[in-house]
Amino acid sequence: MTLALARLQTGWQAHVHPLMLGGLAAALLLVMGVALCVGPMPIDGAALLKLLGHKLGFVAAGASPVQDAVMFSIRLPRVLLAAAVGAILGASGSALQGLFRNPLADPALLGVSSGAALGAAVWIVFGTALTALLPWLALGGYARAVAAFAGGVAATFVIFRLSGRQGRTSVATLLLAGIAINALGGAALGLLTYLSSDRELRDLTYWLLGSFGGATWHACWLLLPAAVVLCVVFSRHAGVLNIFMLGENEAHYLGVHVQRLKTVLVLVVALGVGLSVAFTGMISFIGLVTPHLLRLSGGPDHRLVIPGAALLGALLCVGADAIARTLVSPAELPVGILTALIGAPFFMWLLVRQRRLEF
Amino acid sequence: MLEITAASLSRANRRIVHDVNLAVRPGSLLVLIGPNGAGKSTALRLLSGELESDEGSACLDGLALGHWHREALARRRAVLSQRVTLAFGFSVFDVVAMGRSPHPECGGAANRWIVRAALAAVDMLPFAARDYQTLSGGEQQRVQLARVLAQIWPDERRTSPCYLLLDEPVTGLDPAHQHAIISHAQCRARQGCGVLAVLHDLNLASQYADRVAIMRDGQIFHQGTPEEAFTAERIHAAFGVSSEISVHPRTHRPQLVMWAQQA
Repeated sequence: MTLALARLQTGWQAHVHPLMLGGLAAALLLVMGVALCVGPMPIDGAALLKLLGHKLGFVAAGASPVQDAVMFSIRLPRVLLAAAVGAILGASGSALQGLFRNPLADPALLGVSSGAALGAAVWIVFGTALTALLPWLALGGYARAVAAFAGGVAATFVIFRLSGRQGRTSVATLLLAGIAINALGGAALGLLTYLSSDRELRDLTYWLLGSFGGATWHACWLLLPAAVVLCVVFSRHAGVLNIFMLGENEAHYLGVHVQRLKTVLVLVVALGVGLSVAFTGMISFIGLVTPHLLRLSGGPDHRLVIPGAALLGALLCVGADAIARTLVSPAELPVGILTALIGAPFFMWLLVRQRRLEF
Repeated sequence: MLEITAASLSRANRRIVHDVNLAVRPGSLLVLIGPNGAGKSTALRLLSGELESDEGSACLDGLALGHWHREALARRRAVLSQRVTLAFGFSVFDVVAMGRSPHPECGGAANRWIVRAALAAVDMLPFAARDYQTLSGGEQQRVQLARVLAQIWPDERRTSPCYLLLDEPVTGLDPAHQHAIISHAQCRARQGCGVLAVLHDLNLASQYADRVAIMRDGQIFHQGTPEEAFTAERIHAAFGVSSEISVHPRTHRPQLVMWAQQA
């Protein structure tokens, strides 16, 4: 089905889509290169190439051992993690907006993010007490991530149970269930902040604001494959999602297995977003804004929007993280604040622009 | 043949359709009429396989709709719903091209040709590059019709007949396009397609239908040729309006003049 639609593309799209995606990929590589160079200890472009070349075995002599350590144990995992999370958020946002046929849908709206946040917050506040009782619960330092992931999946499960009826899922009820879960999650988080000690409160707030500061290679090895799998799954469904824009009934009449499409996409989003919230906290607006940008510049075709939003999301996260690290150096801003600060006014501008075009 | 047999459906203890038999036959245009809430759309959705009846069966060529492969069924029957809104601004061409998605084997060039032919059939070819969301309601309706026409566009390799289910296809259209669209549906029926159309305009139904089914309170009240179906007593019993019926000298079909029932 996807192939048939690909061949049906009108002339100019067939040329524009590869160009836009290629341009975005090149821009992403460039921004990643710059992000690797900036920081409290500047590394220039030549040194960067030398370091990477040495690691890959092309160049005999690397740079100084200090630069080597900064690059490979701090900056590279951090940049890769930011790229993976950005790609997951961008692709998830565009898949959800397609699935809900609503340009305001986003992983945070569905309640996945707040479910994951609640899971992690429970661990931050009660974790120390729990590990004192049962030391194996620390799970080698990954307990918070596992708690966040479990929270995200649990929220999705509850939302699905609430909105499913006679084997079908109503998209309108799904959205309302998401709002209810968000309200519940917000209240529970508020209660946890009230109960937490000073140190826990600081941990909680910092994590809730979102940051790539905790990047490790372990996190990268989990999130990079997750991002790739998620983008591949969504891209394979892009043609069907286009048909889904006609409405659920129309998609059904055209032979789309609507229920399976919804189940697969929502579960993959829950997995991806649960994982990314677990490692980096709440990073807002990437999932909402990137699909809009793609649609504004290249049209609503999901075969462009999904891979494009993944690339652009990665680019924005890496860029925002680089700015967050350098703006108040040697301290750093939580990157979630930065994405919201830039994303929210930008989104308002998009809305105003769109209205002006419509009337 | 596409048919529902003894189909009943209830929702929240309310009987929506009860013991309905409807058969869409290849080569014939069946028009379904009835007052608001009579269950016409539900009957159409049962025929499409979107809804499953509590009792009774829905079959295409003797095989229950639920046992058909989704895409195979989509190649055999197309459905036009009452109102289709699009979430994002696809072009008119892209919307109609979605109707060809169950036909990957046809190839891109043939499918593009069919998309243009379907747009020409509803008089919308000049709008192919326009954003669907900027069209008027009537124009959007015609684009959706082009999409369902493209979905079951005649194909010399195909031997089994196709079915077209139209839920109020001309509501909101001007007279010229109402007649253009119904006569196109009739023309499809002449070519061997089975067509069901839900209509509210009784004169339009009388002029074009091969058979008429009247629904009332979730049941089939009467089924037959327009000449049999349109009598003043039946129209009064089904719709609660008084009418005077004559035979039009040119079309030789019943022609109705109606007025509100006097208290």
